[in-house]
Amino acid sequence: MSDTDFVAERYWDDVQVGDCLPEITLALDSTAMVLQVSGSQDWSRIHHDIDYAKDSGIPNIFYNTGWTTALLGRLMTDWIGPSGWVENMGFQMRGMNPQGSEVTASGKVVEKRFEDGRALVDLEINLVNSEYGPTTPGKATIRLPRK
Amino acid sequence: MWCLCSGIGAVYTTWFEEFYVSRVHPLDYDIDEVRDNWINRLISTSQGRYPVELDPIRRHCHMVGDRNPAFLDPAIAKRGPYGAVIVPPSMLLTYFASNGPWPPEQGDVEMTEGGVTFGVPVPGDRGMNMEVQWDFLEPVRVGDTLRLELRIADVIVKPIKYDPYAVWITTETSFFNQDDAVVARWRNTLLIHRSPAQIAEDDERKAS
Repeated sequence: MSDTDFVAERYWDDVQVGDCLPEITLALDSTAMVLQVSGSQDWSRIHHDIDYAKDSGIPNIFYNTGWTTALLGRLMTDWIGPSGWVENMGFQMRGMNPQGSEVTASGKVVEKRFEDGRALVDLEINLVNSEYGPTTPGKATIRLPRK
Repeated sequence: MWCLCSGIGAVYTTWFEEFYVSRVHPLDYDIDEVRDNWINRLISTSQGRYPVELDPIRRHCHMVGDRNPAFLDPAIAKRGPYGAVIVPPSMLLTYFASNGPWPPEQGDVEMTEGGVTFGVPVPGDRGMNMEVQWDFLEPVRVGDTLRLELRIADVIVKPIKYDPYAVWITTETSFFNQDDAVVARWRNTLLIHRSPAQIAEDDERKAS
């Protein structure tokens, strides 16, 4: 079970540059692969058909953009509280997260600022793969309530 | 059938599964002509087949173990800041703003007939996303109806390790709700490459 507190607010005033978001680790086993296709409705064979992946010159199936976005999104929405809002997020898929590996989502506060009256927090986010290391560096900006 | 209308000679097409793809031999590929013909072209203006629904959100959350009641529990979400279950920002809104992958429906180019390249002619037919950027402007609630507008923003040739004719396609998509408010914007860069078998096949012509 998740021990995330989804009820408590996270206030901008309490966040410090350097704070780390609680990491999330997922095993990319067969069940995870099926959930990926079900949840994303992405039927591209490169994400579920090992023979097709090899025919494409890629050694293994890898997890899709919908799944990647979902995991990085969960990393943030688990942390921001009910009134927090993800204003933007972007990332590069520099490496694959293949079947049989393990992935850890991580994030860190790199800046706090105000913009047009909004209390914002900038994050660096990433997925680290057990076989390939950091695969998905990205940045995001979230808006938090003030006390 | 949606037409490629590329203006390029020697385009040949194949059916790959349910997706329509176009392959152009690298010797016939004119990137300048492709850019002239495709950049800024409006590719899709699809409307969601269904309103935003609870169960696809649940499956999206299940995919990564997300238990957030803002996305899963109507009773708790009703008492929250948005007054209803909202779509997680991480859920690609194409899910609710297009016809979806099944059943195929003519006119929804992005998810069906345009295939992985949105119809842009390319030497290969294997694709993978490389970079995404999202701006989330407004909450999307269960019951909302969404539509999208997708344009080609850029097309370049940039070699990768195993394919010197890899093509990078960047798209920009705006998502609108039933009040015509823009709720999100999405910029996506897709890499299209050839399989080793396709490269070998193309090399046979180059050698002849």
